Amino acid sequence: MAWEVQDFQEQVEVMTGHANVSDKVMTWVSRTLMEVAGKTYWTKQVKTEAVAPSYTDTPSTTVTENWATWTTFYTANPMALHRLSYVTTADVRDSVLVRESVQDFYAKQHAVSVTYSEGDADPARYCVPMWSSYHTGTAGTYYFLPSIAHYPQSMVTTVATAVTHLELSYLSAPNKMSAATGAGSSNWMTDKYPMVVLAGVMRYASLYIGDAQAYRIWKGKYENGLKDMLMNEEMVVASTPSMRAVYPEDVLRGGQ
Amino acid sequence: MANAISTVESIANEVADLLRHDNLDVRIYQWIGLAYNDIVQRSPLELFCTYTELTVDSGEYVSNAAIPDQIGTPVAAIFMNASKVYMARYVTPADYNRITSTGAEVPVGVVPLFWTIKNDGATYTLFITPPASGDTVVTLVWGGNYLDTPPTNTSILNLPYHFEHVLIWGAAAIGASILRTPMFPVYEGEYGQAFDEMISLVGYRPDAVPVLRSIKGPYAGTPKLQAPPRFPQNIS
Repeated sequence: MAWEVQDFQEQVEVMTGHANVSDKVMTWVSRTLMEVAGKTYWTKQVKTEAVAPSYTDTPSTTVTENWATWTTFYTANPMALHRLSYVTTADVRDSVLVRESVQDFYAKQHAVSVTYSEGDADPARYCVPMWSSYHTGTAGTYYFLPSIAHYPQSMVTTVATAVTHLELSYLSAPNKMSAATGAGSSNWMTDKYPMVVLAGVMRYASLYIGDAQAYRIWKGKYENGLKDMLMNEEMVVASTPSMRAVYPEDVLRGGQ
Repeated sequence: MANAISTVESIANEVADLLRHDNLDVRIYQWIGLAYNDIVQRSPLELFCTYTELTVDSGEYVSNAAIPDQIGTPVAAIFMNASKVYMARYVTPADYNRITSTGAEVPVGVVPLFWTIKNDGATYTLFITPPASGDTVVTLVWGGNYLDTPPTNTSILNLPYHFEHVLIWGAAAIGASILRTPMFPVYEGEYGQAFDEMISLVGYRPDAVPVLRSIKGPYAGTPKLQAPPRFPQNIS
């Protein structure tokens, strides 16, 4: 069982007294889900993928293209990350990290020659992914990509076998609901917090029927619901105060 | 899997629904264009950054041929020469002139230390100094992508699906300002909130998740406001 799009369609039709809004509700559900997934920083929406650009001896477009190929599939979205972990399988202690932005690099390394190689002192092994927009002109192939435009040769040779050595963490966008996915589609947000999703949808529906009073009611329910959702998710993942009230600390820590 | 970006026509339909107003077609496209430019120019450039690659021949500068006209806001430039990366510092054209005309003598072959972009009123030219001993490849990151003409029904705007609701609310707010004046604050409020949250998300990093901050790690205990830096919005 799940809370599906068709359930929201039925509710909107009942609450607004308007039939034949199912297509619009489908759209509104998607808009609401995008908003919910983003505005609450769901840890459930954070994903980490290993990406494996194929290194070559030519530190230029080949790397860029391979990177683009992988990241279009995995991230294709600018919520995505900026975290690029260079992980060596040989020594996890060297696994960190990380690029946050060109700015770091710019500040630390300006006018300095940098040679990347495994095991070099920080920050010499940093990569420099840059965010760039990229598109081929049609809907559905329009992406924001991190692009490693140029790789120093030394890194190329050092990590030539780094098939799984790069990890990409990012906040993913949920799939939108559409005619293609059907009225029977759902996701964890609709399943777990249907009332909040419905409230978010009813904001749109209220404006559609021109009911300002209803809009304000649903807007309030939506915002309050979102705060409760976030609190609940954080509790479950990290601080678990509800569990702490029940179990002693050492049990939670796996102790005595 | 990526969500397909909507066409402007599709977005216009949603805007019309929110305004309970049909048959505004081209005018809604224009509202969308206005809202889009508002978003582009108020957002961190990072979201709208793009890059181009140039080659600086041996010597001082690269011609304007490969530099897009839109490059009004350079964000960063990364130089590579002989398989090594150099992060030369951006300086203003005036400072660049000062450096090159009165600076200490620097032999060719030293890595580029400073770069700038000069605009002679028609073309843009990237300069580096000291002159490079061999060809230098430049990856130039810049912000832009604003609309210089209103979008059409088939336009695809440079905004991913999961931020399109910002655009929809923005365009609806413009329309509501005249079509549904008493309700205007509602639309404008939704737009402002959605916009702010988008900005917050663009600055989002996995490490910046409050939940993760409560776990031992490099950012443990640090407030969210101390999240790692982003791109500069401009360089001065």
